[in-house]
Amino acid sequence: MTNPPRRQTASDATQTAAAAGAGVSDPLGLGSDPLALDAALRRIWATGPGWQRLAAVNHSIVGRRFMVTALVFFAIAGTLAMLIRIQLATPDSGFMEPGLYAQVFTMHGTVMMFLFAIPLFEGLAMYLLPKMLGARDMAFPRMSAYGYWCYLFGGTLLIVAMLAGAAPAGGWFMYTPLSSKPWSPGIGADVWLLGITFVEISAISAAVEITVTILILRAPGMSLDRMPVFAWYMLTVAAMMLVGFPPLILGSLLLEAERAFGLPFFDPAGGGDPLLWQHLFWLFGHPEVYIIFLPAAGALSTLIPVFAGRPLAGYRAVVAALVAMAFLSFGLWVHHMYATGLPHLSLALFSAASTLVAVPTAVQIFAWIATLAQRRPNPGPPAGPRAPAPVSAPVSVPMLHVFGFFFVFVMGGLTGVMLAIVPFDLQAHDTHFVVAHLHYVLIGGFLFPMLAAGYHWLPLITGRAHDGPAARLGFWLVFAGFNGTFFVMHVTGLMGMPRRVHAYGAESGWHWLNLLSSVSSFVMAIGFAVILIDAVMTLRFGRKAQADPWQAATLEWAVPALPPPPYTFAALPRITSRADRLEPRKIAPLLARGEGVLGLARNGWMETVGVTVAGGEPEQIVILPQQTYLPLWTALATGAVFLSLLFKIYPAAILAALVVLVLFLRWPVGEHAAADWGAMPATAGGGAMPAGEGLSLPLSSEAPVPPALWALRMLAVADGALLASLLFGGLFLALSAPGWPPPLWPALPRAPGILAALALAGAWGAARMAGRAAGRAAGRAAGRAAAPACVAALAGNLAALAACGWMIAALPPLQTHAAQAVLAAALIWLGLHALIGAVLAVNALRRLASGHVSARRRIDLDLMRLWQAGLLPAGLVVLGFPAMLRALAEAAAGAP
Amino acid sequence: MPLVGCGWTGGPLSALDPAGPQARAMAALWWTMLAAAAALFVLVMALYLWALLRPEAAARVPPRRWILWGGIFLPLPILLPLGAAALVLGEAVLRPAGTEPFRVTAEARQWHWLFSYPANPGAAESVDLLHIPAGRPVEVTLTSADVVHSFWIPRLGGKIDAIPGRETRIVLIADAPGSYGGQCAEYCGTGHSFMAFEVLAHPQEALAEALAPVPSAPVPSTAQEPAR
Amino acid sequence: MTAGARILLALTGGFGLWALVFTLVYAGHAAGCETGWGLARGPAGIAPLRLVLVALPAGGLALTLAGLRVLRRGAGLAPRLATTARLLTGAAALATGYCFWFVALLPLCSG
Ligand code: HEM
Ligand SMILES: [Cu+2]
Ligand SMILES: [Cu+2]
Repeated sequence: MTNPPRRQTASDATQTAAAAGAGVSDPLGLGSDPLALDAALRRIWATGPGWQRLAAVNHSIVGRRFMVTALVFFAIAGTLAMLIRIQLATPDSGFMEPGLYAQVFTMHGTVMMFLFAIPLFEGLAMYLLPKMLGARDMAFPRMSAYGYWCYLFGGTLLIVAMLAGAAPAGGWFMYTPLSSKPWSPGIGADVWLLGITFVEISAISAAVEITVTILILRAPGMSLDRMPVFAWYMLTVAAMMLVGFPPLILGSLLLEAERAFGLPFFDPAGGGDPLLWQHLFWLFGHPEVYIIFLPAAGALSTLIPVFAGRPLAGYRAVVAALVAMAFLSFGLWVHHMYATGLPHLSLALFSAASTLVAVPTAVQIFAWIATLAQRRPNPGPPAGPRAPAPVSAPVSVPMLHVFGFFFVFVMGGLTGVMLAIVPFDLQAHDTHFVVAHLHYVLIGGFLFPMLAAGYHWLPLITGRAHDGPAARLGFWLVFAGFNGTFFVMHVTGLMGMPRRVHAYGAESGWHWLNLLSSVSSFVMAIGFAVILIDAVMTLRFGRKAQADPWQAATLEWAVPALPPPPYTFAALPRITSRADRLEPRKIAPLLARGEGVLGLARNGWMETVGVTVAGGEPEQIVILPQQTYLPLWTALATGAVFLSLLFKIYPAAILAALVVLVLFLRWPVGEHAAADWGAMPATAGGGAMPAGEGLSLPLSSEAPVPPALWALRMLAVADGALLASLLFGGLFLALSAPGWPPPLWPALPRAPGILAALALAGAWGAARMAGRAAGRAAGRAAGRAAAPACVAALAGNLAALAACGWMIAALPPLQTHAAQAVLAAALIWLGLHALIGAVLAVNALRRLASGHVSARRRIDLDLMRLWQAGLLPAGLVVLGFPAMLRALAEAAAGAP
Repeated sequence: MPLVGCGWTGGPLSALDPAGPQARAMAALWWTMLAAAAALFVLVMALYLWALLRPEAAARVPPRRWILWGGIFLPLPILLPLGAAALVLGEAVLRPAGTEPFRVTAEARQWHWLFSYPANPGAAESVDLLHIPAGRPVEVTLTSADVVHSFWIPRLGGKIDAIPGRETRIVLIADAPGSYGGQCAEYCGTGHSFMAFEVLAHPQEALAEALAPVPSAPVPSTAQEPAR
Repeated sequence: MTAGARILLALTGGFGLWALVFTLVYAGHAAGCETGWGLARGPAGIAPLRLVLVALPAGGLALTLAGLRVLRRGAGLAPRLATTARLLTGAAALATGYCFWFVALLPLCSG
């Protein structure tokens, strides 16, 4: 009854295209039997049983997997936290020796930040966004699955290394030179650098996917200003991830290159600088904290209004506040570096931005308070056959956790403002005061809101109603235990207890406070256990949830059943007002009957609507890919790349990378894109496709801007951030690292530089011509018309690649100075991008040959054109980089 | 602030028990901010609980006013003077005006501090023990021989990192002769917890004697013997 | 300009300028201190570096305020987005004042 994972060939698809008109008896699906529609849609969307689950790409399944896996990692990191607290409970503790303790706190921080917090909200966003926006799935379901596998494999790598006693031990920010080869000779640091980079693939892919989904996969009529506010939060967060993660990825790659090949990016003896690592890490690390907080705030902005029975107060102010926060959060990073001896004026800039961020935070806090204040007098049960809600307690379980959020987060925010003040931070920095602050912010600003969100959406996700005093008991234990654990750390910190110490003397005066902290941490742990047991009992024995149990006002509750079926909506609603003021209980039955857009099942297609960004006008029918093992295979091959790098078997790494490439080339959506549906007569099922409600829309393969093009645009943002970080790194070294200018300037030959510039310009021109030629040609002639230009683009990219290789070969030995190491890194970046350009050209040729390209279907050519259009200016900057570097270094050297 | 530092918050490394003008200013800043933060915390929580439990009353405040007053008019007038005070204080702490400082260099290495006194010819180097004059600014110039460390004497003032390849500087003042604890604050490897040092502040007249090499003692690794 | 691009510009233009000014002030100051450029007293006893550091935020502020004027006339956005954009641009102007006023006062480089 389910579709096994399969891939259709192009000729298959042409036949189905021709037969499609006959395939649907009632193409609009209107008036059809809801049960039949449900069955038909299930047949198309369901994931198979048994092993076929590994082929799942559905956002509900993948989102759930992300969340569950994140909770497992939370349990692991929580266990490590308990070990830390046992160690610190008494003075001169001998429970763990210092090397083991270092592994434990490093892994605790790393797992909590990278394997718990980020994936948890990614999973929640993935699960919720399509439902809230009125779409059937995320824009790139296979990317979701691929990201999940990368996350799972990368996280497992870290945990396995820890169990093998080879965990990283330099703290979660891995400062160099402690994490460099001489001082961390083991494999632990490599595990961190490569494992985290592997996991970050999933962060970047989630960010691309979330942005594109929010921008174009919304219900018809849902213009940007009608979006539920959670979508604004996630759009902002995803954009921040696109800019914030590349500096970390770059830093990790450079440090791994230093460790593996001796390229001295961070080694002052070779013109590197340990401060470069700190800048790159915190350039990521601070926005990261807001990246973690904002999704949680988005959840609060969604569920507080539900509790109040009113829309969010100050929607516009809240959106403004969160966009402001996104920008400000990139101007704070040096507040982790106040003690590195920078001029006071520099520190003051970051201090000002750090305190200012309190303002948008306060705006949101008071918007929530204002929403609560407008609460409908008695949000009791509505008319209808429904068990009376237990009104004895003044607040629901989610609202209890919201209370926890207010109490804990406000306090963490206040200590945050204190730490932003330079003279105070110079005392509190690197002490347990900071440990207290960061947990107040992370647990207050993330964990409590996420627990609230968990209880709020539990009926949706599991189909079970939740009630019970155990949840309340769990909350109070966690709340009391938390404050007992961390409040006293403010005091021990100010009394001089540095963070990351494994032991302390009894004369320090920290003894009783630490004992109190450790005892409380066990209270907190018991609280988490209660919450867990209660949740498991609910899953096993809870009564079935009824539809829309909270009387919410957003679309995720308008799904036909709890938990939602794999196709999510049988038809997509038309939105005519704010999408956070809807009445799901009225909409749900209509949609379940197929009354709405795309209330039909045809051709075995997984269809959803794409809209214009601003106005939300329906623009295209996006056909999503079937379940497939491809993401799993690709992630396994990617894992092989990282493992080979880890064990320094470089030929295997190159081989595995080629496998990844080949697998990715098999990704493009094939079936429906092999024919011009729009050009076919309506009788053959062609023309713009009927979409119900009188709408006719082109398929995305024939739309001017299909989702894939959006994805490339977003990827370009992240890629640009990566290049910018690299250029910043080079210029930073030239300006302020010791040992510059290098004793011998790397002289680059002119010829390959000119060749590369011309080749890139040529490739760009050829890519443009390819698109134009295909646009003018009729029918299958497009293939022949565009092929020469594609070949030219291929040649241009290969020439550029060769030129980069030539230049790198002309550099002095890279190990001798950071100058040539940085230039080589920039040229490698350029060469790799030329290589990808070549791959895109090959892909275009392949698709031309297989008939997937026509005047209407030009996505493969458009991707190529966009790539080259971005690569040309970036390439020119890279080619001019040596001159910039030299000018700056010489200016700095000439300083008095 | 006279009350600062007595009682149970004391201790050899307590920043709440200041013994120099900079540490005192920082502690005073802390107590002031603590008072303000406590008041703000109580205020925000009270407003929140009011809105949660007495919505009928709280609803009389229109949302616009909540957001404008709570989001803008409450924080900004606090942040602006705080920021200005921080700049003034920062200048005072980072760049104390006054007499010509006593100069010391400190080299951090896993897991010891090597102090030398280039401005005092004939002074012996000392390990994990720093001699300084009391009542006079001391400028410590830091370097590191291996990884990043951080130099911290909580009762005298803030931290400064010791970064390989760079020289960093900090100026500190001890009010009175005595012994003060120092500690490495940046994680620097397995010996980090015990990378401590002792600071002995001497009356100006006794400094020269303290700096003179002790003939019998090889360079010690623990900081005990110049008990005075 | 497409409608989407116009919205992007309206919402992020103000803080985008703030971020640009922030980067230029931070980088310019660091470059000035490291290369020794503009530290000597110039016209009216003011160091040229100082003039640059003051001119950057002043220019940014002027542009932001100009943007705010354009937005006041609606700029062809949906009304709710237009309000959001005005709030953001106004906030960006405030932030520019808040974050940079002291570049006129603090000593330029350490030492
Ligand atoms: C569940 C209860 C938790 C307890 C009892 C706990 C306890 C601790 C303690 C005692 C430290 C300090 C270790 C040291 O400096 O020696 C620490 C560090 C840290 N914790 Fe937690 N923690 C908990 C939850 C979390 C959560 C939820 C997060 C983040 C989402 C988190 C993130 C961190 C980070 C980033 C560090 C710094 C690690 C480092 O210094 O490298 N913790 N934690
Ligand atoms: Cu140290
Ligand atoms: Cu240390």
